[in-house]
Amino acid sequence: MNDRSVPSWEDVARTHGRKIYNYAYRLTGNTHDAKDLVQEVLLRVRRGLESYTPGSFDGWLWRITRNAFLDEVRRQRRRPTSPLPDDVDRLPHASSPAADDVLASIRLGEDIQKALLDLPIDFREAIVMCDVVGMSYEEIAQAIDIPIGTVRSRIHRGRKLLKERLG
Amino acid sequence: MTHRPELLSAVLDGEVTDAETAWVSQHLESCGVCRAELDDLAEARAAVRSLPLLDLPDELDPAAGRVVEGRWRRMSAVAVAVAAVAALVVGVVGTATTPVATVDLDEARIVLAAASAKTVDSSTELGRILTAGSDVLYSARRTTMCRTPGGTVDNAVDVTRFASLTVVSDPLGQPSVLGDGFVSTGPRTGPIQTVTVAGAAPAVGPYSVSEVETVDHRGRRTDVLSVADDTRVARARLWVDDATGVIVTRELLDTDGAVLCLVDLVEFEPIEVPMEASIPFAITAEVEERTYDTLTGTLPSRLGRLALAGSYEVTGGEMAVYGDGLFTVAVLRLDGVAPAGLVDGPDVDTEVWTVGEQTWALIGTLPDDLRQAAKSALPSPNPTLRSWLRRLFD
Repeated sequence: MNDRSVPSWEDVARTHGRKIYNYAYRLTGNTHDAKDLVQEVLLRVRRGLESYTPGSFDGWLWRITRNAFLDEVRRQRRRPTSPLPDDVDRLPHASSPAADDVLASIRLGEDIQKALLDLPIDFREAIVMCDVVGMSYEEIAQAIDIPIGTVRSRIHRGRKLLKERLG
Repeated sequence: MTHRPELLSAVLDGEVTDAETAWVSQHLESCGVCRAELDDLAEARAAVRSLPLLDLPDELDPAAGRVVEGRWRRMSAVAVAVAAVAALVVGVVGTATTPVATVDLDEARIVLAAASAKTVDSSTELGRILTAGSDVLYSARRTTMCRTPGGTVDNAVDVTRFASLTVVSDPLGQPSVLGDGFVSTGPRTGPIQTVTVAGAAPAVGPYSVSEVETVDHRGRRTDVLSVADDTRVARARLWVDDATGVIVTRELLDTDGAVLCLVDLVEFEPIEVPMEASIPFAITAEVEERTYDTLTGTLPSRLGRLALAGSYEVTGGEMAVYGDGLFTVAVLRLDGVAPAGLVDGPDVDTEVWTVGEQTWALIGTLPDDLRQAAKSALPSPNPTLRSWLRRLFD
C-alpha cells in the first residue's frame, strides 16, 4: 500500500481484513472473537481515517488492531466466555488403516491451535505474526513497538513452549 | 561452550546476518544439544505454518456489502440525550460536535483539596470507555487518585475526600482527561462533587446520591451509588470498594437504564484482612493463567495485594506489588547480592538492601508511616561485625 496516499476504508477492509482476521482467530481460538475483533478494528479505522496523516500505515493499523485485541482480552478476563466450537481445523476421518496411521502422525490443526492458546500472550502474538500473518521481524518490532531482539526472544521461547505442548 | 539458542529460531526465519549464520553453522557441527533444539524449533514453526489461512467471512467483507455494526446501533439510538448526558458526571466527554478537550495531566488541578496524588498503574490501559455521543471508542490509560492528607475526624468517623482523574485516549492516541470526585465518610460514600479540570470544567453538577446499597462485586463489598443531576437526564452507578474507597466501576445510564458509558478498573484485588497491626500471609496469584512462586511475609494490613508481578528466571527472585488503592509499592527479593544500580524504580523511591545472600527492595512512593511499617515487616540486614566496626571508625 502506498504510504503517501490515504487508503479508503474499503481498501483497508479488503486488503488487511483477512490478515487481521487470521491474526485474531489464531490468537483467540474462536471465530466469534475474531469476527468481533475485525469489526472493532475496521470501525476504529473508519473513525480514524478522517484524521490520519499519511505515514507508516501498517504501523498505525497494527497499533489499532492490537489495542482492540488487548481491550477485548481484558474484558474477557473479567467476564470469561467459553469459545464457540469451531470446525475450521478439523480434518476428516479416513477409514483405511494406512490413512489412520498417516493421520495419527499428522498434528491436527485443532491440536496446534490448542497448543497456541496455551502460550503466554506475548509469545503467542509474536508467533502468530511471524508464522500466520507472515510478517518479518522488523515488521513485528514496529507493530508491537519492541526491539528486534525481543521479537527474536519471544518467537524462540514461544516455539520452545509450543514444541513441549505438542509433544 | 557458548550457546546462542535465540539465533537458532531466527535462522529458521532467515532473520540473521551473514556473520550469525556462519556462527550457527560452525556451532552446530559440534553441538548435538543445539542440533536437537533446532529440530524442535523447526517442528513447532512448521506446525503453525501448516495452519490454513482463513478467508474473511462474508459479513466482514465490504465487497459483500454488509458490514455489520450491530453493536453500535443501540448506542446511536440514545444519542438524543447525549448533549446533556455527555457533560454529566464524567466531566470532559466529547460529543459529536464538541471536540474533546485535551489537557496535559500535569496541568490538571483538582478543586477538592488534594494532597499527595498518586498515579496508579501509569502504563497500563485500565479500562474501556464507550461514549454514545462521539461514537468513538476510548481507552483509559491512567487513573490518578488524590486524597487529602489524614482527613478530618468527625465523631470518630474518618472523612476523606477522593478525586479521580482518568486520562483517556482515542484510538489515535489523543489524550483527554475525565475527572470526578467523592467524599467518603468511614465505610460509606457520600455525595459526589464534580472536579474542575484545568480548562475544561464540566457543565453540570454537583449531583445528589440516591440509593446507596452495599453489594458483593467481584468478590468484595462495594457500595453502589445511584447518582443523578437535578434534571434527572441520566443516572450514574458507581461501584466503590468498601475498604479503600476506590471507584472500581463507573456506569453512566440513560433514563431507560441502558448503559451509555462504562469505566472499569482492572487488576484491583485487595485482600480481606482484619484490622490488626500486621498479619502473616502468603501471596499466590495468577498472571495470564500461570502461577508464580509465593512471596511470604507480613505487611501492614492496610496494604492489600494489587497484583503479582512475577518471578525472575535469570537471577532468581520474586516481586509482588501491594497497595491500598492509592499508594502502590513493589516488594522485590532477588537471590544473590545485586550490584548497585541494578534495582531502580524510575521516578519513584527505591530502597535496596542486602540480607545475607539476598537482595531486598522496596520500590514505590509511600507516606512515611506506611513505608516504615512495610520496611519493618521485611527482613532487615543484620549488622555484621565489619560494618559495625566501619561505623565506629568512619
